[in-house]
Amino acid sequence: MSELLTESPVSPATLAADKVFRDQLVALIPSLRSFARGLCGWRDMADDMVQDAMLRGWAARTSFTPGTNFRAWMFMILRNQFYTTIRKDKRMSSWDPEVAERLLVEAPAQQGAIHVADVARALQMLPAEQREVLLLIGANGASYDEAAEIIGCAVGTIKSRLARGRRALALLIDGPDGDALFDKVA
Amino acid sequence: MRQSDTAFDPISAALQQLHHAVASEALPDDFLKILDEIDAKIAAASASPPP
Repeated sequence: MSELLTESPVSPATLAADKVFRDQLVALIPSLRSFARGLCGWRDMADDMVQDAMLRGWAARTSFTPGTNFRAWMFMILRNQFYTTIRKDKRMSSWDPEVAERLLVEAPAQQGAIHVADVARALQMLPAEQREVLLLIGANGASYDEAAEIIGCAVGTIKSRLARGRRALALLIDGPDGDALFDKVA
Repeated sequence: MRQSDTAFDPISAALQQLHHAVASEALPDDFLKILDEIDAKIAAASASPPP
């Protein structure tokens, strides 16, 4: 992977742009790690994906247009990395109806309470297309427009996936009573 | 949103808590090594004459 860091001589302007790019990348690492962890659920694999995305982003930095949305650009690279990884590793494809059903039966949350660990577990039961929208908007504070740019779909699709994801999450966390939880947030 | 924006949203709160838990972790050494490599490339490019 270090071949992605191979450099040739650059102009002062390019050098200045590289420094800005580097600083933006550093500032974004916590959000990239959070997004990746939420997507795949495994710390080590998530960090590997982020590191790979950083290297790919750096190698492709000349294709980034300064002044445009750097976060969206890097999240797109990371997201592509995630889907490439899950295509190779079917264990990560995640939506397992049997597991979800078991969770619904065995693990209703305490009334009126919602535990972060329950949310983290339930997230991993969701289809990736819903999970990524919840993570981008709910966890990372992306707008509908930004999420649509990252995922490459219409804003209406984002809204639909977000609503379905929230409802599924509420049902997974709270069992059949999840509708009540969903009603609080819909 | 059917309720006001100030209504407590437990799912969003939990998602934000998950985000902050990861985002506030110290950076593992592997990340620092990548940044060191990038810094070294920038330093090398600074030291060499422009094309």
